Amino acid sequence: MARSFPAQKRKFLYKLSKLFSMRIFRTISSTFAFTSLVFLFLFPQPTDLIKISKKGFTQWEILQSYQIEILQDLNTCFIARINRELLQVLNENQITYSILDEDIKDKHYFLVHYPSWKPLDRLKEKGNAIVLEKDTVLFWAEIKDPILLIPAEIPRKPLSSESILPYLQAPYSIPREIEYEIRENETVKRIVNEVSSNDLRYFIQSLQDFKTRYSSTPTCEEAGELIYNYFQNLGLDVSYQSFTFGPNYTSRNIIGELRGVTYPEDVLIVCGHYDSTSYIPEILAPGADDNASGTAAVLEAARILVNYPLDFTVRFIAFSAEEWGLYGSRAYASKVQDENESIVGIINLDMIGYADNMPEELEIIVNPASEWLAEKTIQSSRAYVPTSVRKTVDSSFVYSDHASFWEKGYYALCGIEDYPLVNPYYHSPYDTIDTLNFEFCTPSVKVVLAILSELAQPIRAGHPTTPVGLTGKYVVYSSLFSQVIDVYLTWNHNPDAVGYNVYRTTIPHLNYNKINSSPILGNSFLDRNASSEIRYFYVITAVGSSGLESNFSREIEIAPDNQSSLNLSNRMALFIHKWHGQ
Amino acid sequence: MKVKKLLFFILFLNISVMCFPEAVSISFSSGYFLPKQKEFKEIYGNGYPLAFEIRINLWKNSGFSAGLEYLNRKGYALGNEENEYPLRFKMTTIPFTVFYRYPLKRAYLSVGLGASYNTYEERWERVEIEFNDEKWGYFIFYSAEYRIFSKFYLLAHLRYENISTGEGSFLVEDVSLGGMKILAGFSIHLF
Repeated sequence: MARSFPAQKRKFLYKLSKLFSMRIFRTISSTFAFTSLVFLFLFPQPTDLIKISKKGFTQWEILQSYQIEILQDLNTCFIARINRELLQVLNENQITYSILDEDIKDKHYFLVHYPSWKPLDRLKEKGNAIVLEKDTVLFWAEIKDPILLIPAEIPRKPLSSESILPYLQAPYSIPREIEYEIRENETVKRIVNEVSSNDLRYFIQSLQDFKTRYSSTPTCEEAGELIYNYFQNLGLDVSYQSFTFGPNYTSRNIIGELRGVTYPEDVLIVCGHYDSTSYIPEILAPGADDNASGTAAVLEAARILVNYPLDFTVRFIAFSAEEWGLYGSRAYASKVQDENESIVGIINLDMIGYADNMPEELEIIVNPASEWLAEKTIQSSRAYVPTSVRKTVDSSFVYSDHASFWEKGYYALCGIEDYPLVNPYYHSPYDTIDTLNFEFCTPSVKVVLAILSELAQPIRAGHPTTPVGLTGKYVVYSSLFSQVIDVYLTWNHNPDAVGYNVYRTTIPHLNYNKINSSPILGNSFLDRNASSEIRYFYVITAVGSSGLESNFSREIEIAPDNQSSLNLSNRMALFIHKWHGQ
Repeated sequence: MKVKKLLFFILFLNISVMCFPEAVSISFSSGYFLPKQKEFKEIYGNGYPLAFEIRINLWKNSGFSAGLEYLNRKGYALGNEENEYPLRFKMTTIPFTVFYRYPLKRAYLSVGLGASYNTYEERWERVEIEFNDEKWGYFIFYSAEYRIFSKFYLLAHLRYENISTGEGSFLVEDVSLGGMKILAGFSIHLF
């Protein structure tokens, strides 16, 4: 016979057991939560370094939405730092990747330009080396300064420590064949013709005379002082930018500024590194070609342009510690980005003196986003300099100072004598002025002056002043079933002008098409029925009473996704957003 | 499009004759269209449709009807500047209805439901943009007729209609052309 409890007692026991089980549950769950937190705090998920293949890659939105830290953009792949938990996201989205190194923590990685035919043993005996793609190797070692392990003459670039994802830009689609309408400018012609072989020789010889300009040596700093004094004597606004690199070295960039008259806040940079290297870098590294030649071009450009008032500001920069791994330019690119400066473009010159065969072509290397800059250089060269210029689009060419600017999303090109390099004296003690060919070097510098002048725009006597204050916005009109998009442009009144012309293009700084039939009398213009899927770039000119036209104004970009430019109700802006998201 | 509408109408007349109706009436009315969607109202305001209808009583007090309605509106595209882009909207509706008519001393009260075949066109007058399409809608209605003399009646008509187009623009994703129609006019009871 079963023993029965009184009802009251049974109720009490039931309540007690319920309370007890609740308490147990709470205790277990809170202990679990606390332990998890402690575990996560003490043992966070490790971060890995991975290589994401670009082959068939279309999932940009995955990179964006998970804020995957892209540290390097190469031709065939991205190098990314990723929390291990996020690898699952890549798997789910069928993104092809391979793990390069696990649990990277405070390790320093370098991209090394290493020819594919060479065995990796030389690097592998110093540390870890993995081939990323043709001629590009990732190197790291478990020591504080692995850079000291890479032989001085091997080009290298430290992997960015910050994600470059925000600065990755979609390339502009540049038509294969463009018939440029070249507007020859007499002042630019005069500027180009002022380039002097003798001056270039003098500059290169002066830099070579330091024996070595290997950053970290006193002679490198002396070479920097020579450049500083030269800029100062020209009357430029000169400054040093100090930075540290390697174990605990300090060096300086030299920055000379020629302030623009019309747009002083918009800056063009022409630069080259003045440091040098060789396999005996502290003893002898004359670096006549690499890179006294590029530095000489910067000095010559400064010498000539200082005599011409320009619309835009030009900065002449000699970077240091490029041979150590672009340290000078990285410090500078970070600075301009931190100060939110408006940089129109960067022209980096590195080795423009050696010619293996004449006539030698000047190579212009750009990433896809900077392609317009290369096209503009070709255009300028055709107009002013009888030398040939060849464009190469190559995101993996990251072993010179332009790459520091690419990482920050700026438009930059590298002018170089050959790609791939053929100079037999490269990074050797025999890189001297007698190996250079000034029949190639001088026209190359002329090309630099041509593109620089085309972009900076010398102010021409007799022409109206360059118009300012150009702004534009999308104006969207919608009915029930369709919409039209207009671009509304306004600008400041120019006292020299009797009218204005408006030019439009879909490629920055190239192929401007006049879109008004006769000069516009007011200070505004409505470009009717624009496409909502195209980025437009606009400039205006002022037309004087004599019919002469001014220089172009600052170029403005009107992009469909630029929500701030839409002066619409929130609801409409939302619909535009949705519409573009389809 | 016009041929298609004509064919619809002829088909309806054929059916009417074949059905040997008990009574036939025609009506003409106009009034007020209150669009359901506020975007329509913002651009075109309320409308003033014109309507013609044939009603056929088939059995006792029930029957069917068909008609032809026309709405023509002018408006301006919504955007930064007012009145920048003038628009024109035209809609033709052919409603088919089944109804029940309740006779009173001098009046009739009717309720019914039906489907409508709508063709519409929106045109930008300053730029070459034109949109046209056709869609079916459905509706319920209520009407009252009051006899003035002989076969002539005053007519009041209230109809709520839903026409979802599935099309849209920046402004609205799915345009609805439905709404409330309040019409007044007269009807003639032929026999």
